[in-house]
Amino acid sequence: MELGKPQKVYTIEPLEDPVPTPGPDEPAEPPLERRPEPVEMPLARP
Amino acid sequence: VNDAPDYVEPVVGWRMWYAVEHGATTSLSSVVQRTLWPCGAPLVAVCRCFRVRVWPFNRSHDAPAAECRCGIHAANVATLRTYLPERFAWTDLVPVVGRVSLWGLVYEHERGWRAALAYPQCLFVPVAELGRPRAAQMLSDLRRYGVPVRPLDGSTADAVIDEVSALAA
Repeated sequence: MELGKPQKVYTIEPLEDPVPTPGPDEPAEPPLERRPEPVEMPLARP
Repeated sequence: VNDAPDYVEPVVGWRMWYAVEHGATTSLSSVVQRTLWPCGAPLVAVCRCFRVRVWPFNRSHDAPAAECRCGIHAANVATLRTYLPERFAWTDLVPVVGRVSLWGLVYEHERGWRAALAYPQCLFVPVAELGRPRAAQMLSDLRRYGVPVRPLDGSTADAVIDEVSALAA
């Protein structure tokens, strides 16, 4: 393409990345199931 | 030395690519240098302009450079309109038109820009002459770039530009 004469020069450092983050092609790994916290049981009296 | 950038948002211009089959998929290719544009990473400009090697002049340099025509090119829509017809006529490759983000070192010209880094922002694919299965596959392949990909019905350069201009408005 004929762009014509150069006018000015500058630097650009985007705050946000112009490259999109890839979408999930594969289903995301399911979150690990949390085990229920152990319930402290009162000791049974003998 | 002040290393702070002049701007913090990319310039957005228009350009044209070819959709080329590469391996099992379709990729974007630059029109002149036939460079393949990567998915998920910016294209980094490299100077491939022909130079007669007469030391110390014409040494290789970072792109873009003031004294060269190198860099990743983009333009305004009016310039694209003048450029597109000849490119449509010269090849059987599928043209793709779209907006591109440019950043890094940027030379601004009267009708466009040359930049060090670039990534497509949105893509428009004329699918009228592709046939439905090929068009669907091509659109799907190009969506790997992670940007909007839209089919266009026009099959001539003017029709494509008219459609793109309307969509972009």
